[in-house]
Amino acid sequence: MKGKPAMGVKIRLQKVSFRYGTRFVFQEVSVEFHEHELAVIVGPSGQGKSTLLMCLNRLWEEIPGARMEGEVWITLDGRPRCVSDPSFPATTLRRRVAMVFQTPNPLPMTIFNNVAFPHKLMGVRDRKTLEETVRKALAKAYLWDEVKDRLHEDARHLSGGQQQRLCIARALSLDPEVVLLDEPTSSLDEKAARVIENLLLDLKRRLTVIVVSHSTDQVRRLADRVFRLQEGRLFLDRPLADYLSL
Amino acid sequence: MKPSGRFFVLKIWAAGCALAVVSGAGLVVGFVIRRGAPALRPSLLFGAAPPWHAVFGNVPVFDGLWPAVLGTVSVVLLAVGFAVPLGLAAGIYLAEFARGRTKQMLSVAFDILAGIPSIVIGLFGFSLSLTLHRFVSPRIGPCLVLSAFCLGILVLPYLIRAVQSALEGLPLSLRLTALSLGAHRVQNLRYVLLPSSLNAIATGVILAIGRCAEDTAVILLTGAVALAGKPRSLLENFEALPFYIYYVSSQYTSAEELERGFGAAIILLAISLGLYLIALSIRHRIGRQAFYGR
Amino acid sequence: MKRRDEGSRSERAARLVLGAAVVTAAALTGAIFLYMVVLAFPLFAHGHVFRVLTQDWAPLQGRYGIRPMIAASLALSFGALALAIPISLGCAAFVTMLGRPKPALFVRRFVQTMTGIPTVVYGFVGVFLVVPAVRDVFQAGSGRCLLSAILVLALMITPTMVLFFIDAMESVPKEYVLAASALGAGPAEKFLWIVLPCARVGLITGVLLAFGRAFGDTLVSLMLAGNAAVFPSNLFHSVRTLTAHIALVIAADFQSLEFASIFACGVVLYTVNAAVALVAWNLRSRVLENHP
Repeated sequence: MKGKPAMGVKIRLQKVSFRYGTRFVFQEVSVEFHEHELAVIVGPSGQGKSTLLMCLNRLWEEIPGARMEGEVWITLDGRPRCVSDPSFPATTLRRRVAMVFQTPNPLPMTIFNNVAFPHKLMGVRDRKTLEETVRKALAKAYLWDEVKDRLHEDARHLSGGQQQRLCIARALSLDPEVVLLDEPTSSLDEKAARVIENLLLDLKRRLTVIVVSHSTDQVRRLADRVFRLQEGRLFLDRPLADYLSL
Repeated sequence: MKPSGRFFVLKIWAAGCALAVVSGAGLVVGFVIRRGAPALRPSLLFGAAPPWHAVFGNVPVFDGLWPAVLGTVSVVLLAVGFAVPLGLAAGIYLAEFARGRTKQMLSVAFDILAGIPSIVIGLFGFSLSLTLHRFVSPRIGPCLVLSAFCLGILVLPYLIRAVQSALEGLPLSLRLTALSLGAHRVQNLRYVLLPSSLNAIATGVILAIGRCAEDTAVILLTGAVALAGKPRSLLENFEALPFYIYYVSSQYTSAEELERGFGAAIILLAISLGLYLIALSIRHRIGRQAFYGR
Repeated sequence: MKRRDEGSRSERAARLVLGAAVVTAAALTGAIFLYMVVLAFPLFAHGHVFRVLTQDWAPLQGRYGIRPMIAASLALSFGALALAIPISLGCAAFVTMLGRPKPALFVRRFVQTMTGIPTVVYGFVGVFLVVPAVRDVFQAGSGRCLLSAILVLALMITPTMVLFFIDAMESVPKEYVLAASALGAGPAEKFLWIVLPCARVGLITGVLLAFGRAFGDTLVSLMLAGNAAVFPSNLFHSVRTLTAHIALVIAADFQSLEFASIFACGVVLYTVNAAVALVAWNLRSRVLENHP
């Protein structure tokens, strides 16, 4: 809408099909997502939007009976990589392509440990490095001021909106290039939802953001482009202008 | 709405059945307590020996249950020590690494193992000792470690099932969280899945302990005897509470001995029910926690 | 790259160690059966499988058949089930649908706790309460007979069956029960026409497992049934089950055919219980298919 720099392709799905057992969820989806864009995926419930997200970080591999065909290419560190290839390590992929789930899922640990967790997984032990990382991540997620005095409380004591921002902070702490959010505000009240929406608009300056949403208002507020996943097919939805005029 | 005749009859029948069950069990427990209560003195456990010296010194206890109590504790600890690590490993494998046909076949195998009558497991243990006796060392026979091994086999399938269902019962979002942050499977197990299943697994272990403590058929064939004193060595016979009770029922020679039998029954009942209630209360606490989190 | 190696390396190691544990555990299942068959072999070879299973027990005349024991085990199990099934059904119905909330909760908790009562305690009470009672009331023999064992065994298998039935009844989808209520059905109608039919499979599984438990029980029959190795012809006669036979003959000479007969009992016990486990497993997986 404003004058944007030339946008490179960040994510490319090439003829991606997905099925659980014999039941196809979507077939031969080919689409490109641009760098620094905030793309929103809409569509009827239960038709595979969450599954589509899981194809981007290969989390579908952890679900028994799930099968994906086709290729997924993501530009990481400036180079396009075929991330759907089994030789590309899934653990590395998931650190560069972070995911936030629909219902906040803080781990049963303190706030500090939640955000530090991904780094501990990678073997980072130094206390000061961890503290700095946690502070930066919580600040990026607009949560630092609210929790800086209670970092060592159980994360489950936070409110819903705070928990969701914690999950975003946790995902951001790894400095990912892409963030996937599956209906991130559907379990939150309006005020909390607005905070997160502003956060997402802020994030797209540094990352590529892909959001699944059910709310037309939210789509209107957030999206650069809107995609619709319906009856097994993904296509660019009505022009944004139509949303603006609703 | 006027209750129909059929409703009334059905209701009476159901209430009657519930009453029958409750009074049946109440009768059993009440009878044991009434006949065994007079025996509840220190001499039940220690006979003529002074308690302090019997426990911490080397004074042998005759006519007392202390050796049997020690024997039961020893065999249960050994059995659980053997079965829990094995059950934990197998349960984790089934929940996290096994798929498809392999998983099905293993599940069936463990269901069959769970259904094997305890006397058959005891018989297996006994024949195992015969084999070892012939081919390894004539010193080996029915003994403490053999009983512990067989009790371990007895409770192994229940432990496996407890671990497996604890892990598989975790909500999908919890199972995926660490993975979505770049953890690999073993890290996920270590930092998230196992810690979250601890309560359920603990319940399973406590129930297994109870099952080992009360079993008679297995130890009957694999090393329990009426008179052996305190458990001294892994390769010797031992006394146990449930065996004592069985033994007294057919071999008692005096009213005191019979009363001791009832006293032993009270102790065993207390142990079994106590463990069971602990497990039940942990299970209820899990329920509350699950509600609290979501 | 280094991270990836660490991940798949640790997963491979885990698979190895855990897999070894699983294989060991599963192997035990087979090993037990193998031992039974191998050690029963002298008897089977001597008397042929069919004869062992259908002959009577008269070792002094060279007959080592276990027919009386098989019959006794079956008689005891079916007898106990005949008593326990209707009572367990009624009790479960009381807890789930037909009783008032407070007593129903009490009974539920009571039955849950009851499963912790040790078998040997049931046997002990049987010896000193039930046996004298049967002796006095029916004036038949010593009181150690099939009937005494049936009475106590029925009580023993009831709690587990009740809990199983309760679970099966509560798994009936609430929508069906609600729909029936909306059409004007009372608790009795709902119980008879909705809950019972829908819970059918769960109920059958519960009965099967209780049968397995009764068939494999040792202490109750050993202490209460009298242990005479004759074909059961009368509730008040002394009988010996397969399980009791094992416990009694274990002290015999290792080399004798008498001793080998206990392994024949072991084979029968193992086979019957394995069959029960397989059928129950089959039923349960069919239920899972229908209720995804």
